[in-house]
Amino acid sequence: MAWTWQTVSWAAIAMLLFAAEALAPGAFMLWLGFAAAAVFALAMVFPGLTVLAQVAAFIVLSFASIQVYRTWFRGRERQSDQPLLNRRAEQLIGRVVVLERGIVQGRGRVQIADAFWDVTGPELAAGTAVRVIGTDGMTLQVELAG
Amino acid sequence: MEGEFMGTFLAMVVVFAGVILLFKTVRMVPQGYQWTVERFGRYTHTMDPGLHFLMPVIYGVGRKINMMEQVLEVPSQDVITKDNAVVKVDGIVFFQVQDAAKAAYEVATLEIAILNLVMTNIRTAIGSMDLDESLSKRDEINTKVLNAVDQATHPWGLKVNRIELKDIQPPRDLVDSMARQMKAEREKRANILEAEGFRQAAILKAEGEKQSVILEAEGEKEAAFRQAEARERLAQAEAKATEMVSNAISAGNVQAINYFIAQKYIEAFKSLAEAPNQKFVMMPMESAGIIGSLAGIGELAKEALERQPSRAAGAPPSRSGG
Repeated sequence: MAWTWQTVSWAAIAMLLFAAEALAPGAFMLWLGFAAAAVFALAMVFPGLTVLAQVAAFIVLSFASIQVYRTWFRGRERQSDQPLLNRRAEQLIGRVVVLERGIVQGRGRVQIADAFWDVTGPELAAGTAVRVIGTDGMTLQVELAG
Repeated sequence: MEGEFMGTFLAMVVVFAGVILLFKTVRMVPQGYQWTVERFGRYTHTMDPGLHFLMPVIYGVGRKINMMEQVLEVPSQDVITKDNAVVKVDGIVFFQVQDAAKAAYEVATLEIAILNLVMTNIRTAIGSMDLDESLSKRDEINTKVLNAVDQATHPWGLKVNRIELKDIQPPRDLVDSMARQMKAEREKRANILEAEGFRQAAILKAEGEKQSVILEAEGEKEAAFRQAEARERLAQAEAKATEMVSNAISAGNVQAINYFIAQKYIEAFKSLAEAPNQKFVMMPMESAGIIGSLAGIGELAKEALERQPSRAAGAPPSRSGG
């Protein structure tokens, strides 16, 4: 056990990092905090460690803890309940709209709200109701709504 | 002592480098943005919102693209219409990036590019219309410009959702004359309406007068008919009365006439005397007439008196036999 300034400062850094995580959630201060806490534990157990070694351990442990997060915790995160935010084209999937211009050579056009969208699909006349089944960047894939 | 100082310095350098590397490794993309990732400066993929880990040094963040719908003000510009009026037009554009990579690398200055496209297309759309049309057909202009701009910006991974012209301002003097024209138009209509009103009123009045004259004439005609009828009836009655009187006379006594005349005279005198404004009675007829009629009355009385005693005595009539 070595209650020196150096060892105690690791505990302080860990506390500060936890506090920072609390202030700015979603960042990765938490994992750096765990790394600092681990270094504090090491320094308590092995009083002979030099400062350089402690710092190197901190850096390594930080990367390690982030790796742990990536492999173990990533999949268990709560998913967004609005996964289609900012994806205007994908939000339109399932919508039934009327062709403003018939599909000729595989390309036509519809109007949804104020905007015009190019569509691809089977040859259909203007005025036909179609359902959006997918997106391809800027164009919507449609099928005959039936 | 010196070694300890060296160690501390090294430790600080290591901490500094390590922290920088950490910050380069763990990247957090906020919601509403997408960041492009470059490997030694070449685009590889796009990061969605959330926490990402990048191999530092090799991979780096390229562009931070805003994926939210954005609004651009189209600055006011002078546009010439088909009939050579210069109007000031400004507008507003709503667009949204659909493809972050294209928006990042296909076009250098996205907003300037969009604005210039919109401005030139507004010029084209308004230049093909005359002033009145461009003032009244904004929807058409909006749709035209939107279509053109939307198609043109597809290669940049954009979706232009809406383009609105905010203000179309003709020059001051033109606005004044337009207002004058409108006022004149309304005054003209008001005058026409007023004149029509007067005309109709005059017609109605004349028709009313005509009708009233006709009705009056008809009334007079009717009245004349009735009066004539009445006179006829009166004449008939008089004739009848005369006939009856003359019959009575021929059948009976001349004194009957005298009786009538006497009655009339006395009645006439009675009405004269009863008249409230009559202070004295003029006698326009000969007194002799009245006296004569009185003589007639006297005769009547005499005859009646002569017949009375014999009836009172109960004797049979003296005129018998012969």
